[in-house]
Amino acid sequence: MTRRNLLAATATLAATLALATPALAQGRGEIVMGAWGGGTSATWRTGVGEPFTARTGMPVRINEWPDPEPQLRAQAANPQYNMAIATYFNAANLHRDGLLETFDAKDIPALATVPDAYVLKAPDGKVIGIPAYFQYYGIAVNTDLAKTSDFQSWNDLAAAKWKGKLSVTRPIYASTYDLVMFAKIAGGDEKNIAPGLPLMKALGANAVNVYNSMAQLNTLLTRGEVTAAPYYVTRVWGLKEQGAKNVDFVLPKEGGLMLPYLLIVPKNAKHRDAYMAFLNFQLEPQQQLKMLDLSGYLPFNSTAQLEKKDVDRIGMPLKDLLARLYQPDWEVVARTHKERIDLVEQLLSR
Amino acid sequence: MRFGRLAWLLMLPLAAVLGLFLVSLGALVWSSFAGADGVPKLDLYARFFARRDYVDVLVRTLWVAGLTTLVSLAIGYPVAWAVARHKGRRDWLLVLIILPWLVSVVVRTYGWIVILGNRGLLNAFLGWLGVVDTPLKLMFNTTGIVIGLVHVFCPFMILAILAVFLHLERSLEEASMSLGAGPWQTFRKVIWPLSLPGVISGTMIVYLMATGAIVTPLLLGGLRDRMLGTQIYQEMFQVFDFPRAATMAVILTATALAVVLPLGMLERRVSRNLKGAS
Repeated sequence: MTRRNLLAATATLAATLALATPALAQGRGEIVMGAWGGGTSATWRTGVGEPFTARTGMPVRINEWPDPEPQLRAQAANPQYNMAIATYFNAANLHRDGLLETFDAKDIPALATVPDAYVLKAPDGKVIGIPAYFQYYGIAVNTDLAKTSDFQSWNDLAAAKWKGKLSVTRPIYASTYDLVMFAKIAGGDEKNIAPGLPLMKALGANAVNVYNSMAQLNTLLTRGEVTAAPYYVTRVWGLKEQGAKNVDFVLPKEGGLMLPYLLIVPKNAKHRDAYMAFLNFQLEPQQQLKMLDLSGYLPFNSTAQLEKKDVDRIGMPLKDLLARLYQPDWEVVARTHKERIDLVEQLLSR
Repeated sequence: MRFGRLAWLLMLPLAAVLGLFLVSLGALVWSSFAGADGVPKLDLYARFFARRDYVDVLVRTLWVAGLTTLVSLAIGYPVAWAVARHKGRRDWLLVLIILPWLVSVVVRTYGWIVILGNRGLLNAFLGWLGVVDTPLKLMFNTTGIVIGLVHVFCPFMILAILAVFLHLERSLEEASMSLGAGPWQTFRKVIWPLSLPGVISGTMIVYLMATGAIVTPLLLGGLRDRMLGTQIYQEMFQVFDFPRAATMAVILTATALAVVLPLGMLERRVSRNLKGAS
């Protein structure tokens, strides 16, 4: 055999193996999951993916994306993913357009550990996605420039002394999170957001910019370019773990917004046995607590017992925290999404 | 005959790419006119111009793009001149000019946050010098956006003008000086007119690219500094309103072409006149 023949044979073998490996994996079943980048994908990879593979032998591939909806909509005719982590309003939007699988609760035994209030259901009673974990929304503060006591109420964001010192999230999230919370504390709710408009406008008047990613606000907060902003608690915890000493989180006295996340499965996704097993697996207490350790996302499994360090980090028992968090009807939020984005855009541009 | 057939075959991939581009462009324009029932109408355009904030975004986009182009020209022209007249090797100077392109635009723009912020390097330096008491507002406004965009697009201006300067004969300047013209007169009557084709090309390139900027306005702009490129991105990937995004894209393209096409005609006329004069 000449060297040329040997090289050709080796290349052919390598190419065949490269092509055959995914085919073999497909035959065995696998999870192909989409997740937000950074900590989220790492959490799923380490906290759930690797243990799942160790137990079942089925590989778990996690790809990062900035947002689930564009990808899942683009692939609707031929879904490449069979799992995605999403917000409840993402799920409601996608379900409304017929793009998601739904489930009978009895097919997900682990769902019995999740309080019914947190299970997103279709009008026919089927479960749209499987709850994974939650976090909450409050106010992040740069403690070099302000005190946490300066933001004990959501209404403190409107104070004139913060003009040009705050940041606000993009209209897609400001209309979904901030506006709904502001409406709630002013006597409205997710159906009636009018009471929340004055505070939304005031926040816009005080904001110096719109942050377009968590990395951007992390940078602006830690560098002191902004003093405070409505933000996610897990992001502040993450900054502290990375050594930031000048950022803190306030759960205002009116409470915070509960931000639940769930696993969704695109319609006609491949490997049903694999994804059903994965949906149940991630709800097991061990996996839920591991995700809490990795990224601060709080468990939905009511049997998962938090350790003292987690209770200390929250500042109260989980039961008390849940009592202070507002969970809107995400289906209403999703249904009114587009017009509220327009409303907030116009409000913030004045 | 064999050569002709081969040439056609070689052009097939290009034709395929061009064809796909034209089809998708056509689909984009159609999407902006087609209503939900598929009947063409101007509803989306009417709704765009009925929204005050959208009109503000459009006007701001054209203004920022124009400003970016002028600043790029003001910086790029003397840099191109200096590089063209450099007596040693120009390779390293060219590498320095295109160095910004080797770094992702997101990373570059984050770098500007570190430099331009209230607590950034520039304000810290000016404060230390005693030049300012309170930080200069260099970010979250048009200033920050223009600085970021000029950093990204100025190399295009420099290279467009440099290409013309490198073909400019030194003997023309020497002839002008020997006939009694001073440096300013030589620049005004000889160098500037001859460099116009490069200036116009650079202007078109920078202006077009600046109108479609997304990342820099997102990161360096303030709450009321949205640009149309960013708005289109939001409509496509966050709101999923493709017809509205298509409408904005057509409006942006039309307004950009309204500037670029006359510039293109001017460039051809100038080049023709210069050829005729020589």
